[in-house]
Amino acid sequence: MILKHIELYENKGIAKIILKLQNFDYIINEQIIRELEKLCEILSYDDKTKVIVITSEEEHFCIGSNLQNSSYSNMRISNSIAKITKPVIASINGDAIDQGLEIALACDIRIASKNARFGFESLKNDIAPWDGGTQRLPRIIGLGRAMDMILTSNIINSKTAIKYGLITESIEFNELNSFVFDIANNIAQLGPIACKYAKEAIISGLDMTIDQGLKLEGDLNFILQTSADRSEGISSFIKKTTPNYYGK
Amino acid sequence: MTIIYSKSNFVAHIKLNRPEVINAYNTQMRDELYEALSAVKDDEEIRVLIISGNGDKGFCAGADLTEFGSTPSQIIARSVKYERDIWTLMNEIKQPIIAALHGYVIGSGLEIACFSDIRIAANDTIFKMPELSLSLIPAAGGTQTLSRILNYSQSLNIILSNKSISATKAKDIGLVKTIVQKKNLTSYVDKLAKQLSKINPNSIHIAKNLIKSSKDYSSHYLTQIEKNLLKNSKVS
Repeated sequence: MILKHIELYENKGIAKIILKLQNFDYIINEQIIRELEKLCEILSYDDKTKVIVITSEEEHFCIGSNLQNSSYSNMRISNSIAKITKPVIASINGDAIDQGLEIALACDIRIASKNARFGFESLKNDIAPWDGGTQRLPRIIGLGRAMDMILTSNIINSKTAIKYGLITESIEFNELNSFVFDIANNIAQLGPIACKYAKEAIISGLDMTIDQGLKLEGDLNFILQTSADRSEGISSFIKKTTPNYYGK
Repeated sequence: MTIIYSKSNFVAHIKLNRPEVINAYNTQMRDELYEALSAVKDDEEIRVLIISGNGDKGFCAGADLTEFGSTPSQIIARSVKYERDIWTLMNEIKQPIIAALHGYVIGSGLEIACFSDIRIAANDTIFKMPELSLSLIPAAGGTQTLSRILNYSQSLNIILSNKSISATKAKDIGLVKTIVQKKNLTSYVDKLAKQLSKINPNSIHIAKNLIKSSKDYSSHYLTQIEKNLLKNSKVS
């Protein structure tokens, strides 16, 4: 696959996606969405990839898109990201606004640089958030805060974002890459099937009652008990050695 | 006995009691905990339940891995689990549960704490979910309870990152309500339990049940239930 507006680096099970938005004023366009969508699908099925990082370069993460007037419903991207069964980290190097924030919200873990700001300005332009923002934001930060951010177009800084639980860490700009690499590298050492099942249980479980969720968790655990990785995990813990997981 | 059970003045107390292995959770503890929780559930004299861990090192260091792999088959293990499902039982306890936490609160230790309604932690408490590093998943409700207490991203972060979380960090993200000095943990929790035991138990059961259901059912449905329950209980 030829990528023109995205760079992909693969190293030790970590696939790092860098959106090249500098020449587009950090505004996402149709070409980039198409490349990102394809990449999500490929990486989802690639056995070498254990964890995915989505980031951008220089000043901002992504401050919006020119797609809101597009008639194509497939110009949404958040569901393609959310559909990935492996852990996905948003490494938010700068402002994440409108569809830029919606991309970050579709990731599992959000880590941002201290200078980053977050918000929805779309209502100012008479457009409601349209790529998952109205659903994911309240599920992550709670109803009251989500209403405030979307209805008043209130842009928050990284300190507030930490308080809201919108991001899990706020890091100096020049340390962000190495910090995120450490987190990703830790995840790449975990059992890959366990990662997928934990993610499935957590995310699917939230759309169920807790009793149904507990059953899902229990059943995934019983399936996991049949895996070779699990035996390897337990025996290496008891022998105090480092486990080798093969995703089997 | 792997737990110590006591009851006085409307307060029941379950103390995990395998201090030599930081109260690691094993099948015997599961069975004894099941009995104790069943007794609490039906006992009208109990208005509050405290869960704590015996010994200096911690509340509970997780599942006893030496027992892993002893299951005859997944088919049998599955039917045994769902016939006497301890986590569903713990989730159904109508009285408020206070977890008194100290030292290591790891894996299923953290999951037991997550089934409690109020978590009080000593300043030395360390939380961790290491399951995925062993190619396991949290299977004592942790994938469900943690993401109902925190948001799902914070929950994924704890479960995927395999990092230790200090008491202070746990307080910041809303995982624990209060941090107290270790020497004051027992007296603080006893006082809180006493305070809760003075509230009309029926009201507290309704409140607990409705608040817990708020993530699982529509608000329209629950406000109807709330109205009916309050009418019947005559506390409105």
